[in-house]
Amino acid sequence: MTTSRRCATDADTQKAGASFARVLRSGDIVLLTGPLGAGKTTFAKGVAKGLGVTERVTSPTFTMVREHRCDNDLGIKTLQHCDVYRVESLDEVLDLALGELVEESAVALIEWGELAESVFGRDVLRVNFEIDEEDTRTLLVGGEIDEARRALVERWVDQ
Amino acid sequence: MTVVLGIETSCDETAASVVDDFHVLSSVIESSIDQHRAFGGVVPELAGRAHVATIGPVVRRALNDARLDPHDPEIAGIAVTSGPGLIGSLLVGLSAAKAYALAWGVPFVGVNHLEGHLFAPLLEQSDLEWPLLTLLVSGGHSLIVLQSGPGHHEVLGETIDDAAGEAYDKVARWLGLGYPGGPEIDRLAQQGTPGKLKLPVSMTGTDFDLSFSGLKTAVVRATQKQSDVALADVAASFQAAVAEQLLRKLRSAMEKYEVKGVALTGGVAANSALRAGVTRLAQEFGVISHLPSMIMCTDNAAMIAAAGIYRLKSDGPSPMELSARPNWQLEDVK
Repeated sequence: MTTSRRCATDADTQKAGASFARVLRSGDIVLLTGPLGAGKTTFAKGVAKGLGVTERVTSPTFTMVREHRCDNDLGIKTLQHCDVYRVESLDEVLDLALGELVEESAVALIEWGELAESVFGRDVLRVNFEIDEEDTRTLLVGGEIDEARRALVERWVDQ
Repeated sequence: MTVVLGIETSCDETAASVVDDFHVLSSVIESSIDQHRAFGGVVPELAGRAHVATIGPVVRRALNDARLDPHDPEIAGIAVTSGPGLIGSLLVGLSAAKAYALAWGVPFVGVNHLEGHLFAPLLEQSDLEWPLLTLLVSGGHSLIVLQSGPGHHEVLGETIDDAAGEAYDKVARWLGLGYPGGPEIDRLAQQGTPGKLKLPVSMTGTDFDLSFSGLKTAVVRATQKQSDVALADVAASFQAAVAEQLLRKLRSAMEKYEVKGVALTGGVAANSALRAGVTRLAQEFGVISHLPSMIMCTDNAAMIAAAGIYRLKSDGPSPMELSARPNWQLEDVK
């Protein structure tokens, strides 16, 4: 099964994020991984749009967590947009208690998620961003994907 | 005469200050930046813990410096930053302010950190003339604000992705420079030639919104492709591109709105290219430029006290149940 999607422009990355909203369910934690400038915040903006967030979504690096109200038919009421760029040790990630953010009809996107990976174990989705020579981004979805989700991810890849 | 104690703990700095109307009687700033330098950024729990350890001594010193009795100071109230910022850090200042307010039987008021920055120029120049255009740039924020008077502001534009200071920090870390990234890039930029690294011109639209994420990405990509460009030239090119965008937007705001002055505030106000650019713009438009001293541009509690004096008068004290608002937007301050 292919779980990757290529994005040639920022607009593509944002569109990929918007349609990724259909892959999500309440309680999901999604780690966004990849180098500086790979499109993590751009993708998160798209997801927010797909979840029906109307306010402006900006980089959460400064406050670590930004909470956005959603309006959609997916039963997801809150988007927690997180960023652990400034966190350097696992203790710090534990202190943030990001797992607790997704109780009650919420999903969490965590930028620089590789820094937090071991705290969450296998029970998360992962979207890894790679950039090639031509500035094209490849978004690879991994992590805990059950049967129902597999179909959704395949549909996302084909969109 | 209104004497207010200001407390600020929204990010790196633990700060306390006593202000009498717009006259600063004392201002104490304790930074945990040395701890953060090793990590290349602010570490939230480190910041929170540092605030807990320093808040008491910092407040006592601010009161002593202002010749007030630290056990029962005769003050009209307490102003404290209640957002935006790191939640753990904000809560330390807010809890301390409530405790002091109860102990001394004085009112307290929660102040928006960004509104605090807008009051900073007033503390050094009490004869400010309005309307005033302010460029507020820091590690967490980048806004262009039109003020018709103290406490009356309209956000004309703000960043749609990263803050200017954040882009500085991330580019500095990418280039292997220290934290905070601003001063280091500014210093290197003096020795380099802007334009040596080809970077795109961003945000060419007619609105006043800002964007630095594309520029950050462009530096990453361009340094990978042109690996022979000297570090100083990279710094100079990046700095010139940031300043170009900020000054271009500020210029179009000055063309659109007739103002009497233009102010630069926030941590990135230390930047030499921006200071020079704002001074030139003010001269060109025949208005007064307000470039507060660095100690007043960066996070401090005097500006919080000043905004608090205004808010106590206009809105009255905050309730004891007031909670921290990590994402409190300036637009929502009425």
